Amino acid sequence: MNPPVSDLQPLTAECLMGESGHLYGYAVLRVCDHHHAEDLVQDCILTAWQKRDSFDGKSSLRTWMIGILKHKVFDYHRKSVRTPSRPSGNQISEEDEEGDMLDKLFNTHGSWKIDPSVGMGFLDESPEQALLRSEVMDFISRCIARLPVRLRVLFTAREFDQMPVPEAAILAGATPGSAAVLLTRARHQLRDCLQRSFLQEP
Amino acid sequence: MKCDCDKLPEPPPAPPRYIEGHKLIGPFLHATGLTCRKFTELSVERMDSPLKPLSKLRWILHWLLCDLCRPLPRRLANLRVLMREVDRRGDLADPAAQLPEESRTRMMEALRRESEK
Repeated sequence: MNPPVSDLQPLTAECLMGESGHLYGYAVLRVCDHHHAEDLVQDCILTAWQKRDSFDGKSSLRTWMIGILKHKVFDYHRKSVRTPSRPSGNQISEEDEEGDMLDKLFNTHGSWKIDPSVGMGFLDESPEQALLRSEVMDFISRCIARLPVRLRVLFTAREFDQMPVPEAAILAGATPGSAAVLLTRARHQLRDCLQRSFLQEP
Repeated sequence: MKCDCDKLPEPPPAPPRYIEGHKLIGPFLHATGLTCRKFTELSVERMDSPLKPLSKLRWILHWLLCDLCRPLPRRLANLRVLMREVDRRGDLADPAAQLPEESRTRMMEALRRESEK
C-alpha cells in the first residue's frame, strides 16, 4: 500500500496513473469483464483528477482512489440490474462445471470426508491479527478471483456491497430462489480454496 | 475464469476419532436431518437470513454434538469481517489482471486532455 501523500505534494497525473494497475485488478475482480473494468478505471482516474483538491492524505492514495472506484462499480452494477444483459450465457454456465462442492466434502451420511479445521487457524484469530499475515490478503484475492463469474458477482455484491440477496441475485443473472444455493456454493468454494492455499504454505 | 484449485493440495481426511464416532451416529444424524452437511448448509444460510425454528433447533443440537463442526460458524463470521476489512482497505485485486499498455496510454491521453481543460 502506498504511503500517505502529504498536502505539500500536489497530486500529479503520474501519481494517479501509478495506481491504474491495481485499480484495474480491483475492477476486474468486481465486474468480471476486462472492457468494462478498463472503462471504470479510466472514469475513476478522471474523477480523481477532478477531485484531487479534496484528497487530504489521511488515507493512502490507493485507498482514496479505490473508494472512488467502488462507487463507480456500484453504479455499474445498479445500471446492469436495470438493463440485465449480463452475465452472458457462457459465463453463467461456468459454475455448473464445478460440480457440487458439498459432495466432495461430505459422504453419503452427510459426515465430513476431510478435516475442515486443518489450515484454517487464521480464522480462529481476530481479523486484526489475521491481517498481520501478509499471505491472508493475497489468498483472499486469489480465491475470490477463482470463483466462477456468476458466483463471484453474486458473492461480492452480497458481501462487499451488502446488497439484499434478491437484488444481488438479479445482478448476477440468477433467480432469487437459487441465490441461497449459489451463495452457499460460493462460500464453500472460498472456504475450500483458502484451506488448500494455507495447506500449500511451507 | 476456470478454477485451478486442483493444483492446490487436498485437505487431509477427517480425524480417525471423528470417523469412528460418526460410523455409529452418522445414520442417526442422517435420519434426523442433523448431519454435518446440513449443519454447514444452515451455518451459511443463517448469514443471509434467520433460520426457521425447526432448522434453528437442528443447528443448535448439532453444534452441541459435533466437535469438528463447532468452530465453523465463528470462522465464517470471522471470514466475513476479514474480507470486508480487506475490501475497505482497497487491497483486493485480481492478481492475474494486467492492464494492457494501449489502455494505459489511452487513459493517460484522456487524463492529459482533462488536465488541459
